[in-house]
Amino acid sequence: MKHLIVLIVLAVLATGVCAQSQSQDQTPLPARSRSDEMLDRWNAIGNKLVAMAQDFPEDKYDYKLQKDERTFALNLLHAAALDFVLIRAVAGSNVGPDFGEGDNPSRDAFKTKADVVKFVQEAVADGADVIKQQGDAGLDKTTKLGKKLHHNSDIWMFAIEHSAEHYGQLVVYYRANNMVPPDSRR
Amino acid sequence: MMIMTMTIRMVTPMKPIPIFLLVAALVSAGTAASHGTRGTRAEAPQSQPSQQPPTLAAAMDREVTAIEKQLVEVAEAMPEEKYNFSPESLKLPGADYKGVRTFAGQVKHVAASNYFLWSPLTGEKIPENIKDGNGPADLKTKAETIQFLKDSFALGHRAAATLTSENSLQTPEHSKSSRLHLATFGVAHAYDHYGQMVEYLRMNGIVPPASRAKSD
Repeated sequence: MKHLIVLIVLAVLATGVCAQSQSQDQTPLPARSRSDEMLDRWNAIGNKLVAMAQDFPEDKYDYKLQKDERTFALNLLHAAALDFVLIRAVAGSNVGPDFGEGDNPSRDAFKTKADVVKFVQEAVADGADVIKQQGDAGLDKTTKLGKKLHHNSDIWMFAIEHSAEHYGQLVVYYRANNMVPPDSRR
Repeated sequence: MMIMTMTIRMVTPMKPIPIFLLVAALVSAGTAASHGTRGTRAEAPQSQPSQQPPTLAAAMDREVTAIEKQLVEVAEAMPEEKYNFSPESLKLPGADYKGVRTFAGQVKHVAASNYFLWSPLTGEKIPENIKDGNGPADLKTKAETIQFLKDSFALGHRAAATLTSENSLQTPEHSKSSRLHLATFGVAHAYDHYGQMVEYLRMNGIVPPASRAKSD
């Protein structure tokens, strides 16, 4: 986490956040859109989970820190499965593999590290495709979940935040195994 | 963003949370209740033409509110005598937590980051006692630390209020990132550390508040 501190400081420096004076808006960033921003957020956290899935040793995939928690692999499967649930709702199509009901796939369906890595990769890629295809207009559309309509922008943000939460948990799993999370090595 | 005010999050529960609970959570902030169990296969195309979307300011404010609630609850759940807990102290076999943040350090880091990320949106000056991402060194008590966290989210609400469809892709002064990026990154970053703090609670035998209702 020392590296995280450094990263944050660097990020702060990079953004030049001094906040010493009144904000004054400048020229809009070229060729950017709300969906571009959403795509950036989606890929940022998604690729961090992919990196973890690829990096963590296969013989530790069933590790968990406390008895009442998900294992490392089940955390990843859950995060990706929820992504698929939401992607399918927003896209209105059955993208991705069949992993049964709910958003907690069994290891029985994803027995190897390669299976898990592929599943997470597919979730990230499929979500990115939908965000790109639908663009800004898609963000403002609504999708029915249960009996209620939700704006797609809300659904994407929820998926991103959910993944970030599980990423944070897995950071602690990494340290418990004397490993530095991939994103903290830079 | 009704889903951002959800009260149920998937915090490594003792039992897997059925998807219908997620749907219920998504719905919880809305006007209608959900009781349907949703399969993981979309039964039919669901996206529909836009209803009037919430303003960006309103949507972001709900994001800030949701993570604020989660983090404050976690911060309050940790006993004060454990605020300086670090996993390093457990000396877990095979682990290397040397130098990682304490629980209080996590809280202060999130809050300090909130200031750095969201101040550009309002143009407010960062408090002088925040020198870096570790936050003020002079916060000693649990109450002081939680207040610092709450104050940072108060800024978050003010920052959210500045967002408009016209300015969201513009860069505030002294920043290379758009207003929307700064706003959303702050929330996502907080969720990352929320996930870590949840683990710290569990390492101390404390079930995270968000997991309690359905854990037993």
